[in-house]
Formats: sequence, structure tokens, C-alpha cells
Amino acid sequence: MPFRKVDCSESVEEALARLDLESKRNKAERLAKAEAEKLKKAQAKSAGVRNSKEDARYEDPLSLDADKERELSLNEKARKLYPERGGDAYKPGWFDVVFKGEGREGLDKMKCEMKVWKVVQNSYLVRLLLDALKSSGCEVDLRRHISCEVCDVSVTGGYDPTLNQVVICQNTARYKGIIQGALTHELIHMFDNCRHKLDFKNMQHLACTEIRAANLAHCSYMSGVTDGSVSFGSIKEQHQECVKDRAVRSVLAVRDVSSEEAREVVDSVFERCYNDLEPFGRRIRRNSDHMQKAYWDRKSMGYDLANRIK
Amino acid sequence: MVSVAETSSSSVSDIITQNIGSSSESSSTVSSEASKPQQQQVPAFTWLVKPCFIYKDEYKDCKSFRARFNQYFVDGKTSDCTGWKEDYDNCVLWEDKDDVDALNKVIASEKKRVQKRLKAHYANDVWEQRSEPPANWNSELPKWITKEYEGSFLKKKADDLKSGEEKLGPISGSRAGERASHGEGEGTSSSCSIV
Repeated sequence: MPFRKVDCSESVEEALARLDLESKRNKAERLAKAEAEKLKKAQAKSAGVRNSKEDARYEDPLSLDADKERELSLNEKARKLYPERGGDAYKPGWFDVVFKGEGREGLDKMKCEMKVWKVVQNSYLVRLLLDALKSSGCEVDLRRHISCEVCDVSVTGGYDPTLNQVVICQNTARYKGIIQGALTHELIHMFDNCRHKLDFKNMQHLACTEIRAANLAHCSYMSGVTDGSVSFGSIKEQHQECVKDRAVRSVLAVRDVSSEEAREVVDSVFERCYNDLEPFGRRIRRNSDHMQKAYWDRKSMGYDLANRIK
Repeated sequence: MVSVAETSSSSVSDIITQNIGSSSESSSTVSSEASKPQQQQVPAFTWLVKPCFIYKDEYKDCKSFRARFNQYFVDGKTSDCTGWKEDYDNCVLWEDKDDVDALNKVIASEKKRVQKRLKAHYANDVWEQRSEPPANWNSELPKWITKEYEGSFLKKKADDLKSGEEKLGPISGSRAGERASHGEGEGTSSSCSIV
């Protein structure tokens, strides 16, 4: 209660009525102020998005729909994971240079590109995917469609559907094996985008392509056990659990949703997407010649025709 | 799991030709190329038949302990491996004794495999099929990106691939691919060019 001179002339009722009125007026003012601020913020946000440097660099052909908030969160999350996509090259600070050994991004980029070239020459799965893409009418140009960049440490690769590029993370994918895995995974997304009308804003489409990538290229028994999605006791049909788990994690990495929501979406499309094994035709078992066999099998599906006819 | 129904052989070739897209020929013309040096008339889909050792390899792999474990891990039951054994026996009969009935059996079995794959693929109705590649497949990259790529390693390799200086050759590093292309004049009935 503020100390002010009380006018003893008014009665208690009058005083109470006056205070009541004042408090109502204050509340109304407070609410009006909050509304005005919210409006100002929303306007500033939408104006900011339209004029931002990122959008000037590359146009987003997907127009913002009514769910603007979701769209912004989608872009923000992706931009946090792949900061170089916005156009600003990664510049390490002095601490990173001294204590983390950073500062050689140009050299790392060249090393990454050389490893990518080696993988493209020698990996059965990557070559199968490249052949399948070419035969489907979507030839992959190594320079146009693959990019080595500095990314967030939690990812080893990504697929940018706006520019149609596979991003390989030069700072996390330092070994040929990891680059091979990342390239296979992202080329599967590219394959799905080439053959089907993939809408990356549709959660079901995203879940389906992640299920297929986990199903075809990852999830052996041991990887399931080490990830915790498969228990030693029950073995029967546990591959599905591993795939579901991995798909949910991939969806959560790029979308701002709860894990229950992600799991629900994955379950809703699981049956159909789990059985779609193109272009490999089989689930690859580790330490077997399945990759080689799958590559040879491409002939029966016609995936090698684009390379045979010159 | 989706159950597989029998369809006629022509529908399988239709699905394959539909599937492949504009940049390739139909399967029947390729098979006629392969059978040009032949004296006898071989069935149209002989090119589907793989070299016999592959069937034997698949059979052995299917029966192995690791594969059985994996089958149980994935499907919850062990799969039937007798199909591979039959294919191997029939393939050997065709190779050694020119038994056309055996060849037809192998061809039918291969077609069934292709059909099973495509059925599962087209049964995935989460998304619609495209009739042509996405519009932004080869769209122009922003200038700041192309400038960055100017002197890069991948740019050189991509240009070399286009000009023909570099080639994505056979993967094993062996010269099996060259052997296959030189061996076409020998007139073997089943294609040995598996690479």
C-alpha cells in the first residue's frame, strides 16, 4: 500500500470503491500494454524474417503457410545444426583455435571432398544409389549435389531439400566409413525425393524416409543392443524396435516436437515404409557380402541401364 | 506382411519400364542386344538370370547361422532357403545342358523376386509417385556458393567425369568390368558381366 495522505473526509465505502476502480483501471492498462507489446513483437518477427540475410541468400520456394511459428522453428533448428547453410562461413574464435585445434577449415574441406570422391568410387551402396538415381532421371552431379561443411557436432550429415544438396559434415565425419554411412543415408532421402512427391514439412513423409534409411542401412543386432533399443533376452522381431527408435531420434533432431508425438507419427507409417526396400531390395546385414549382392542385383531392376547406354 | 499374388510376366516388364523413366531403353531391346550373337532363340528375359555361383552363394548364406539369427531378429521366423537351391540346380542345368525348361524356371523365379520388391514399393502409399524429377533438381545455386566451389577438388572431379577423363569404373578395383566388355564376342548365353 503506498503511503499517501489519506483524506479522512471520505467514508470507508467510498474509499473502497475508489481503490477498486483504480485497481481495475491498472489491470486494464497492464493488459493493454501486454497486447501492444505482443503485437509489436509479432510484427518485428515477420518483418525480420522477410528482410533477413539468409532469405536474401537463397530464396525459400516453399511459401510460409498459416503455421508460421512452426515454419520458423523448423528453419531455426536446421540452421543451428548446419550453420554454414545460411551463407556465413564458420569462423572459430581464439579459444577454439588454441584449445580445440580448429582453424583449418579450408584444409578439412578439401580432405572431406577427397574422401567423398574415394567413397563414391569404392562403395557398393553409394554407387547403387547413384545408379538408381540416374536411372530414375535424377542424375547426381558430385559438385552440385554434395557439399562438405562445418556442422554442429551432433550430426554427421544432412539433406537440404531447398537447394537439393547432401551436406557432409567435415568436422564430424572424418573417416571414410562415417562418410560412407552419411552419404548412403542422405542419398536414400534424395532417392525418395526424386521418385516421390516428398513434402519435408509433412511429418509423415519425414518419418517414412527416416524409417527407410534406418531400415536399409543401419540397425544390426549389435547396434540395437548398444543403443538400448534391443534387449538381449527378446530377439524376435526386434529389428523393428531398433528402426523405430532410430527413426524417432532422427525426426526429433530436425523437428521441434515431443518424443511421444514423433513416436506416434513413426508408428502410423511404419508398416508400409518398413517393407519398402528400394533401391537395395534387401536389408543389409553387417559383415556379409550383402552390399555387393545388392549392387549386382541392380541389373534385374534396370538401375544400371542409364550407365550402359552412352 | 504383404502377401504376393501371381501376375503375368508382361505386367512385370511394364512395371519395370514404367519405373525406369525417360533416360533408359525398355528391357526387351536390351535383351535382344544380348541375344544377337546367339544362333538359337533364347527366351526374352534370359538376362535376368545371374551367374550360377551367386545362387549357390545365396543358398549357403541363407542357411548359415548368422543369417538364421538375423532372419529371426528381423522376421521372427527363419526363411525358406529351398528357393535358392532350386534356382542353383536349374541354373546349372541350363549352363551345362542347355535345358530351356530349367532356364524358364529360373527366369520365373527371378521375375517373382522383382515383383515382390516392386509390390512392396508401390504399396507404400504414404507419398505420391512423381512422373518427372523435382523442379529444383538442377536449379542454379546462389552465386556465393558457386564462387566458393570454383577451385575445389570436387569441382575438378565433376568436370572430369563430364568430360570423360575420369570414370566411375568397376568397384572391386579388379579389371572384371573390362573383361566383361571384351567377352561379349564369345557368345556365352548367360551374362557374366555382373559388375
